[in-house]
Amino acid sequence: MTGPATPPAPGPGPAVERFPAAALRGGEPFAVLYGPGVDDVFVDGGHQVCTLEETLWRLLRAEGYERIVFSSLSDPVYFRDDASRDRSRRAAAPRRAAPRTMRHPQLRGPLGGMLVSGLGAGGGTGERGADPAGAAGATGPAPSAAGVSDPFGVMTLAGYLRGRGQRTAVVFPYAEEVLRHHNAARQLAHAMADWSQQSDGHNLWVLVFRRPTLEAVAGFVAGQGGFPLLETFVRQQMETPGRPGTARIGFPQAAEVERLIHATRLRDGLRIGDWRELAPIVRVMAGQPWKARTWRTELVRLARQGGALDADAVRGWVEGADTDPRPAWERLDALPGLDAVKRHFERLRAQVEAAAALREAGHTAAAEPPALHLVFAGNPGTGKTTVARLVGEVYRDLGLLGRGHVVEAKVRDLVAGYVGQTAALIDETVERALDGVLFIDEAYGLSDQRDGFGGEAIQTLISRMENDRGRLAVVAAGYPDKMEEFLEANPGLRSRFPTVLDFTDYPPDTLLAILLGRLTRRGPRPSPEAEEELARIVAGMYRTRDATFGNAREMRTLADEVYALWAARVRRHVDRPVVPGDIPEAYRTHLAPPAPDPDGLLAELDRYVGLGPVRGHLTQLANRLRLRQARGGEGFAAPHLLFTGPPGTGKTTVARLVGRMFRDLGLLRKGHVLEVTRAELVGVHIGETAPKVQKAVQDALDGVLFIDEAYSLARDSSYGGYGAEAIDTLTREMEHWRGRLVVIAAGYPREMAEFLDANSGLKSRFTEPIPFPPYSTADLVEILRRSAAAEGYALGAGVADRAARWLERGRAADPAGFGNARTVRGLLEVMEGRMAARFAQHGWPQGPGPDSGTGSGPAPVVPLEFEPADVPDPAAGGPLTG
Amino acid sequence: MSGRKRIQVDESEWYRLQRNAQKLKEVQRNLPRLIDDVRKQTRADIDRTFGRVEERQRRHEEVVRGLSEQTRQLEADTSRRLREQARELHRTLDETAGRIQEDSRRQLAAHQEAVRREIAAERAERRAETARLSAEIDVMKQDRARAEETVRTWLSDSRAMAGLIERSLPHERYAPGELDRLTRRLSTAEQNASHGRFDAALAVVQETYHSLSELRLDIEQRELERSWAQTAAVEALVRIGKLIEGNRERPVLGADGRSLPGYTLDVTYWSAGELDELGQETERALARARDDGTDTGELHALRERAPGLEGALGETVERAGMRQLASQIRVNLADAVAQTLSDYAFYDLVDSEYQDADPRGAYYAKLRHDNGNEIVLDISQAVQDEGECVIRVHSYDHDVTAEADLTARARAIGQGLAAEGHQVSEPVSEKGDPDPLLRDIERHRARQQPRPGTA
Repeated sequence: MTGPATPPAPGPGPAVERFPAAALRGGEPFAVLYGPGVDDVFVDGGHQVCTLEETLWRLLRAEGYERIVFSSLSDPVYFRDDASRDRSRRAAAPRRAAPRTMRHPQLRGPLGGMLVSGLGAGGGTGERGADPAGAAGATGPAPSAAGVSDPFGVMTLAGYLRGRGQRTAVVFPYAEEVLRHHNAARQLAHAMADWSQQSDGHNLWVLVFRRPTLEAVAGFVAGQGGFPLLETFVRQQMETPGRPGTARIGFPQAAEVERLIHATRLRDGLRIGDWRELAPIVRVMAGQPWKARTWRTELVRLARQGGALDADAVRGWVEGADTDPRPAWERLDALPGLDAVKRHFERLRAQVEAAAALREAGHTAAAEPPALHLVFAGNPGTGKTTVARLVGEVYRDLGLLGRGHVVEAKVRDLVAGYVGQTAALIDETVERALDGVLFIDEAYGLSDQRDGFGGEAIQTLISRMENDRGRLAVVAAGYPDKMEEFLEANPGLRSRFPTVLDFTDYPPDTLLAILLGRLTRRGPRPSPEAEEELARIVAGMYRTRDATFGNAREMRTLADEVYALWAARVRRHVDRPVVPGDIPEAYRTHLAPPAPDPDGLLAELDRYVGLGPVRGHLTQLANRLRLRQARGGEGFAAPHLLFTGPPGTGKTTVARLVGRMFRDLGLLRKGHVLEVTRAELVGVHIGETAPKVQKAVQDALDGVLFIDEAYSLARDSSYGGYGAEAIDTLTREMEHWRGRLVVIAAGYPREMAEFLDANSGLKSRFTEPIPFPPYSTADLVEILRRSAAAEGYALGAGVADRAARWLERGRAADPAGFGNARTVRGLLEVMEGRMAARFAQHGWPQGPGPDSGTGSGPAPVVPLEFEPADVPDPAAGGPLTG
Repeated sequence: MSGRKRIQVDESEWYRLQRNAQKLKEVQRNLPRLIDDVRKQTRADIDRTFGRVEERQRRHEEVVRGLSEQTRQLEADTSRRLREQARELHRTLDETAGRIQEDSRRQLAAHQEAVRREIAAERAERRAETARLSAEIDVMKQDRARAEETVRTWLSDSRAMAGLIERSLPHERYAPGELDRLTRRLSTAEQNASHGRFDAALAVVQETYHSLSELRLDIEQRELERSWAQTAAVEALVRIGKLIEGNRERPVLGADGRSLPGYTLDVTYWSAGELDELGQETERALARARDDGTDTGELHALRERAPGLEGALGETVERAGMRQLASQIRVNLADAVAQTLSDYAFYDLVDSEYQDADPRGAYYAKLRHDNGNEIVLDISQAVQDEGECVIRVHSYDHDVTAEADLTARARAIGQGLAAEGHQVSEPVSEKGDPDPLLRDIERHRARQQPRPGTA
């Protein structure tokens, strides 16, 4: 390798920010460099674009290494500067003085230095060093000793490292290739082992791996099999705080990006669109995981195309790039709400300023740098990600982090499905986030995992937070209560996340401002009517929000949907405002339509026999709501209901009606009904019950949870069952989800009274007990008639009387077990069976089949009539009861 | 605790260099003063040789002038022709001195042969004339006084000729015993004459005289041939001698085969005595060639040794050049491996030297790591004058004693060298710990010997 090697003059201080020189003075035998930046180019303080080798050369020289030797597969020993080469060999690589003369002038035969044979006279292989350009002067590329064979390469390098005379750094810029293909791997491994024993910090062996993480480096080295010592070194480094012998080369930091921009401006004539925008542009660019090489290509292309570097150009590269020219502080201040968060950062800033002032005043033993790790507790869309991004910049501006970019990670990015992979995932992600912020959204997912590798993930994360202190800020975010659990999951977490910042849900007015802001930013302007409706929708959304409520995110979604409908309507007439019609239908449920006329709502009840008290009760409820609406006030939370009555009196049917009605009244958003019994709510093992109740409540949210035979929950209280726990949980959930959930508890009047007694909270919550009295016999006969008619049967003469007698007899025989309407349905089935038996005996009635009719269409169906004989003997009572 | 690892370096590079160095084998002949020097020395030799010939011939002519009328003409002709032949050879050799070529040598030989034949033909004619004169003998049978007079004349000429041969010609070399035999014949003829049997004496003395005359001619011509052969041998060997001297230093050839300025190849040094030995051998042969006692056959053989000596010279020079290059290669390898170890293992070169500071030997380079660990590279030729280079890596590690680690490091070094383009074998572990003494590079310099021939 004889690249263009005019090594930059060693300048003071770090040449490139992202190139941590500490690894070169860690006192370790090796310095392992890795990371995405190793094959990048670097822009130094002099705006020169340098390769890794050049940058490394300069750093090593600045660290006091007098001789810097490189080694690659094709060039086992080469130099990038004449000084290093001259220090390495007594004689410069010999060159032929003239054609047909020997290359070693000190060799003299009888014919002097003459070359008489064809030996070694070849122009190709033997003349590498004779390049006139190379011989031109010290500024040219140092002639390389190309062709040094691997065994001698190792011998030479090992000799250099062992030498005490001059500080020497041996650099393997392509360590993987060398380790994989070296022809003298045996000697190389030995040289490494030997060097690790002998090293005393005087000389250094630098290995550059094109791997993203140390774990990957260790994995690669392990995979080669032949270099156990190097593998051990890398693994030990991974465990060592600060990792003194390793350095990750990341993506360019803001300062370097800015130098790159200026270098491109000066060399390629790149125009800057607006100098005031430069800072945010640099910020956006530095936040991207892009190499300087990539940026250079883009910038040069932009320059060639005559374009200017401005916010638009950056957005062409980075979608949604925030090129807000304001500094991070101002943008943080401008965020709605978040007072506690802002206060925290203000205090942090003051702390840093004070520390700096103390240092200036000579207090060298100033306080430790402040803890950077944070927990953001809050619901989705409360600005956690936005703030996290600003945190990176704030930390960077305060000098607490080098780069300040944000790497967002989900739990699935951090936890693997197989043993041993989780640590690698964490490492990989942390490596990307070094010098910036690792933002773990829904971080509680790490502790939530019952049998996954979340624990391993937390452990690895904690150790990285410790080892990379000062280079890494972890922001863990999630629901407040979940984050509490997260912090409890590992004793190490609480101490490492000393600060928990609460991100409360945005109030409706903030949400509306976010919504309107986004909408107007995109272009359309809502009409006053539309704005008014949107305000009500937002209020409704806020009121009915649950744990998944996305706050600002929901507002963005809504704004985008409104925009889509508006655009579809107005097409090119963009001056037209947004009107209520542009609001998507799905959101209109929040508009709480005027409570409909209870007669219309309850008309369905008319189909049912009886139900007088229910009807009265519901009518009254609807009227109250109408009254409130008429007065312009808010609605009220839908009440929980207690249905008391014997079986078969229509409680389940009415519960379903109630769901629909409450939805129509705007009291519930969905109005669906979830029917549960004791089995669905009470577990058989300890700890099983509460989750069952919570799950049922979640499923029923915005609808009706109908608990039939609710008294059975309380029944085992005295026997140590879990019914009491179910009732307690249910009580809490009812209170928590007030307005979002209607619980209807149903059962026999007497048992329901016991039920209410089981928990003091229950009685106060079931304020509206609605009795379902048993049906009168006449009602039951009417039900039979309607049921039969629904099946296409009619009651013949005398059937009603005989049925009434049979029902009375049944009720009298077992009043508690009588099933009312359910008994009637059973009776109808028996009657149908008897009718069928009758026909089987005497021949089937002729149906209106095509062969018997006129062929001009089906004949009108004549209802089949039950005969009194189809009704069982009332005197016998029967097994139909219950 | 440490390790020793041996790495073999590929040889192909060596062979590439060797092909290059073979150009050195073509010994340098067009040395600027070579021909002049050879000619100068050869001329002296020729003049000396032919001076002797002329002197002899001059004495012969004096003898011939003292001969009787009847033989004087014949011998004068022969002497003249012999002198002419010698002068022509002298002139030709003189003209071509130092650069005589094979074809001109053949031409000269053919020419000499023709002259020989001409002389033989002339002499045959003379003898026929003599035979005609001998017909007078019958006449003389009647005139006993005249007969005695004739015999005495022939005897006198014969004694003069025999004396000439006896005194001035190496007859025993070319015709051993022949002169004695002919002298005895003369004695027989004298006895016959003393007994008055002049006719018998005349026949014998006439025949003997002719044999003596032929013997003289034959020896003269053979001697001329030997002189020539001697001249040729001396010239060839002088030339070799001059070549050896002229090749004691050679330019260094680069990878492209061209000489590298600023560097010389000291053949005397790098051949490690081989060149000196070659010079001595040549000197011995030259002394032999200059020795007048050396016969023609040996002179021819001596001359014919020259190409072989020249070849040996070429090889010596090549070897020397190659050794010099190999020495440089060892340093080059040290450089390359040190570079690799610098690149791959971060070792720095701290010291290096040849074994005993002698560039002809192994090369050691010490490297040190920042952590005190050391490596000594020991680079040598696996076999002298052969391509294989061996790098031994001796590691001295203080930080680790685990064999697995040390092996991994050794393997990394091998991989590093291979990645640098060195075709090297898998490092082979060698038994035992590395010698701690190897880390002391300085001791090599302390043990350095003065380099012969250099100050």
